[in-house]
Amino acid sequence: MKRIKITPAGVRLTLNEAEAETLASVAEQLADLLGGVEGRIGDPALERLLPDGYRDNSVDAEEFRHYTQTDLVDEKVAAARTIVDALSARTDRSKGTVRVVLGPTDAIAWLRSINDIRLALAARLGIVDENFRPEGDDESYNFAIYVWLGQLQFVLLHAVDR
Amino acid sequence: MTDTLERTNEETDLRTVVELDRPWITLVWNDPVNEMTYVTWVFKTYFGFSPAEARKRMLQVHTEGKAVVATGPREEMERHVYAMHGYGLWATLQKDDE
Repeated sequence: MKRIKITPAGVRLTLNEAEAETLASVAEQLADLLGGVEGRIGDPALERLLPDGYRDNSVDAEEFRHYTQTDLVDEKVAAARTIVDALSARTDRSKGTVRVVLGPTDAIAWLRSINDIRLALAARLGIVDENFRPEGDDESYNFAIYVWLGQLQFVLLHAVDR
Repeated sequence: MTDTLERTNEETDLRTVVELDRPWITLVWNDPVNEMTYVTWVFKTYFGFSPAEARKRMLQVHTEGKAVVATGPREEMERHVYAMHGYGLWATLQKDDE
């Protein structure tokens, strides 16, 4: 199975059914998480996705957040929806594989949103350096998704950044 | 007496001018999640850095913990920080303290 192919219509990405379902699910979860930002102050994943613009100055940081957070959240939710929509509208579905063709704008939205999902997962897992090792089934599962998303981002980036 | 006061005022004014002229900077901070290739791509795509320059700044973030990626007026730096947050990079702005 060739993961990535450059076509005249854009980058063609091939996933298996399980990968497509997982990706759609985590993208949906990211959109839900961001959509509930108002009621979740102190959530480490949201703090990483929507960080302070100023260090050591809480007044400026708060003002910056006041003026920018809504737009930033909307941007990130829209990018996550690009993934969900593309995977649910997939046209070519044969032999257990899912193919999507991403034009330049969509490919960039995917790259950004995959990165956001990795940031959220890393915050949930408590990844603070490169020596992280998961413990237990749940952590191992989420860490496997985290690593896989990194690989997916890498091949997608390679196709976009030519 | 008048002379002294006038001179003091001039000095104060000069200090104010220097303070206003001090530029703002956009800093990108290291984090354990963002991949080097992604950060390099963001620097190239958004700031228009050459591949070599983008890689240099990325490595600076990685090895020194942070790098200055832009210098200029405060409003412009706020736009850059916002854009970096859009890409998922950990960025802040501050007055250049050097």
